[in-house]
Amino acid sequence: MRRIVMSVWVLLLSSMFASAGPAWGQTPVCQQDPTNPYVPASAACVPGGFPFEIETGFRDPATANNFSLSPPGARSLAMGGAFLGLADDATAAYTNPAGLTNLAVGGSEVAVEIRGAQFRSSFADRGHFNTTPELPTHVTNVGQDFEDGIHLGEAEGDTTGLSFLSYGFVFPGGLTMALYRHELGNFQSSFEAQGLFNDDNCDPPGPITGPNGEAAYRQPEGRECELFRVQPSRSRIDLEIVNWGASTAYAFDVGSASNLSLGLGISYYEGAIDRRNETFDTCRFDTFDANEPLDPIGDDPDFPCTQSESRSRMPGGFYGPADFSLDNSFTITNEVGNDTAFGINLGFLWKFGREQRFSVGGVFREGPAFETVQTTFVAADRFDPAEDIKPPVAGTLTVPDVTGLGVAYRSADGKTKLSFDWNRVFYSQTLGDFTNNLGEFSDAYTLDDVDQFHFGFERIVLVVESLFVGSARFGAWIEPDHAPRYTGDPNDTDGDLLALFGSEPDDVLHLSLGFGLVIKEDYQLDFAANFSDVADAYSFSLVKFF
Amino acid sequence: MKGTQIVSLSLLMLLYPIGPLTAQQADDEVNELHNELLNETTVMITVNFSKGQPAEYGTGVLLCQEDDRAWILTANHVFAGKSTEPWKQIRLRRIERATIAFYRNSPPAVEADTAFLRKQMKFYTFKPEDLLLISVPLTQRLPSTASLSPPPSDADEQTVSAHGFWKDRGTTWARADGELVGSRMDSSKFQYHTGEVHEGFSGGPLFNQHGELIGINLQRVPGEQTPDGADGEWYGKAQTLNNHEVLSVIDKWVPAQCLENASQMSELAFFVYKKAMRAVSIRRWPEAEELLRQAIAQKLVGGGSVHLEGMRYTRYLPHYHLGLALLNQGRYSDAIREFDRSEAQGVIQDDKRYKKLKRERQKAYEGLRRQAVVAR
Repeated sequence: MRRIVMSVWVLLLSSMFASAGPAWGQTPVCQQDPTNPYVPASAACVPGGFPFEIETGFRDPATANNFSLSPPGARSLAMGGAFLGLADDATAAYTNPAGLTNLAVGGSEVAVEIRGAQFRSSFADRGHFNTTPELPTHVTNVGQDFEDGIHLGEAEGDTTGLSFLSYGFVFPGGLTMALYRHELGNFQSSFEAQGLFNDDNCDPPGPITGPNGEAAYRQPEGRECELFRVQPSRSRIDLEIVNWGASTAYAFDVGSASNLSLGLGISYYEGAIDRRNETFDTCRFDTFDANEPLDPIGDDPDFPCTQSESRSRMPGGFYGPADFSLDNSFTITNEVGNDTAFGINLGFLWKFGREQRFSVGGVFREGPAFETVQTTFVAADRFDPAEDIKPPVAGTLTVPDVTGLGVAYRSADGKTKLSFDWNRVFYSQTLGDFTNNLGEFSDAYTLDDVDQFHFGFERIVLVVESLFVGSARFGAWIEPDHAPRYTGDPNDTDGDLLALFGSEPDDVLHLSLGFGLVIKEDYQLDFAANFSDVADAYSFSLVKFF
Repeated sequence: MKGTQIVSLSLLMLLYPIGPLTAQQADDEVNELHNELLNETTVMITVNFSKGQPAEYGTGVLLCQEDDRAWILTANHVFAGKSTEPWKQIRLRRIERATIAFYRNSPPAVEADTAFLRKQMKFYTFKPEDLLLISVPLTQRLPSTASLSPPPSDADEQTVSAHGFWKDRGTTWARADGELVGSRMDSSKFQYHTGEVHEGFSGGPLFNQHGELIGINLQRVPGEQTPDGADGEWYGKAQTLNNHEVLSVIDKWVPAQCLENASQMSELAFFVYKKAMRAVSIRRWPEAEELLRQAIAQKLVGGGSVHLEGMRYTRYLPHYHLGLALLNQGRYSDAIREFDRSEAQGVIQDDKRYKKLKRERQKAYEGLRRQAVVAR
């Protein structure tokens, strides 16, 4: 029976977390930070769909949704994404549409950006852990069960593409407008995990007594815990979200020394997601008997893998290497979505102070939601035949809304710029995607909105009149953890599993730098790099001025 | 002249009329005080050459004193000697002695022999302009230094005064009042005025009515001939300082603290110009014209990089854009004049907008022709 419970959880959680079922949507548990396409989220999840706690935390890129809510453009990337208060180039069309009024000073421009990223995301590959972390593990040293602790695999993903393209222009009278294409998400990744061994239902240390003082044990004599193995898994994801947008802005004089710009943007989003997760049997040669307990030794007649091959170290066996062949599939879950949605951007930019050296900008960006369909298949003759094929389930892929406020300072000669942004990302909007399939456990999770802080600096280091303008830039920003938190009773049945979502991975610090060069007042080239513990990103953009 | 001195002078001008003096007496005293202040910023320069070359007598203007050095602006030919060429290289080994005398000998004159010239003094040329910047060791504090100022946009009405060393009258300071001559402004590099300058005024300052330095006197030139063939009126010819090439040399070598006033003027001009660029971009031509005239009042001569937005900088070309603004308002002759001024300043001639200037000027001429046809 324990195996059934375990397997159901594996299946359920697999569909939610690993195979990205409809309830998964863009659930942050195993996803990348929606505000940064290059940094997976700080959530803990195990490929194959088994969530649990580890102190270091690790991320699952293959199951991640990779949204890019951070400002487009190499210049803003180099400045740590602190761009709301500046918004002084064509990328303002997305970042803060009110900033488009700045084009009225310089004139129309076309901008194109190519952005690439390298991920170094980890996932739980193999090893042995105890579901009650404070209790010791019982590594058997049989076959693949030889590592104490969790061995993290590293999934590396590369993505490069046209991330931003815009044309900003100025109408007589002062109205400015921009048409643009922005990649909100572009991500591909895949990995295979061997599956972890784990101890569960362990007897606590020391003697245990029954109601009358007699010796009592939960486990049979000579055994402290039951042994399980998370099913090996294989996952892949292909996600693309494109934003076709149009923004417009107008500036109003406020007194003699300041002006206020208001901006409005409309976005038409195209979202395409294709996720697949497979889990594989570890008793491949077995005839299933649901009433049998597990045997950690391998020679127990009650061991559920009743045939000797299944208890063996052969591929597909309980202790053996994972068998990723199709005929050993345990579950296959696909999530597919091709949908469109609309969203709006609202922004303001207020310039004030002597020679308008200070500015404050604010924005609200509405994230789209896409419908998806998840189908799950369970291999025949493994469980109850009624569970073999689950009916398709409709789901949602939600991109959270973002609002933000930024302040900026520029020196009179424009050579020094400082910018500081605060962004609030409404991750709580995505909790529904995550809990849809959790049934009675839906209320046991919370997901908070997070506040991100960005800082940027730009210094013009070279001005050769009418020939060259060169600049150096630096930036930093903090990416807070934004994983769902289990707030239910950890002593509930299966609560010990769910409670493992309570991990507190560290916030991620991003450092960025870059430089730019304007050639003959006609072209601007920008390069930027963003570094963090989990990913590096590179960007190149070209702007043509008219 | 420092700001405090200008304020003092202004207060004097306000207070004197209510004193016991007559109005004429008060004016005379104020003028005298004004003259004293300007003379304090002026030095007499005498340069004796070897090998029989005749001595040069000239004047210089004190721009700055800092770190026991003084910076003096004068004419290049005062130290290089007369030449038929527009510009001549200074050869220090041919100078036996140079004397720099301060007003009322406070501080005492600097007597420089060849060794002193080569080791203690520094010379910065403005080739091909006939200007020279000298750095002289000077520990004693100077009572005053001159303030740079761009001339106003409507130069025709400006009263000016040339200060210098009138050689034929001995070692005395002289002042020649006059007015700028607009009709002779064939180039933004030079200004012509009616002040009566003489030998010894070379390198001396040309001040506007506010006592601000607007040029360096170079020579005396004849005006147009009279119908009977005789020479007409004589004019003083001064090098304009509000010229990009000139200011760039001064900016480079004179301590920034001394040029604070000028840099603030440029900063203001650039800020107004940036606003004007927005007006041009959105085709608000009357607003653009007004702003560009404001910018020109602060900085007449084109050149310099103006920050627009983001990484965008543009060259300061106020007359060119003023021409555009006037052209788009149908004021063709005014537009042509501004295009011509922009071209005469020279900066635009190596700029990508020069072709457009020619095209737009051609449009202005065509507009003028159309107006003439309609008028007929």
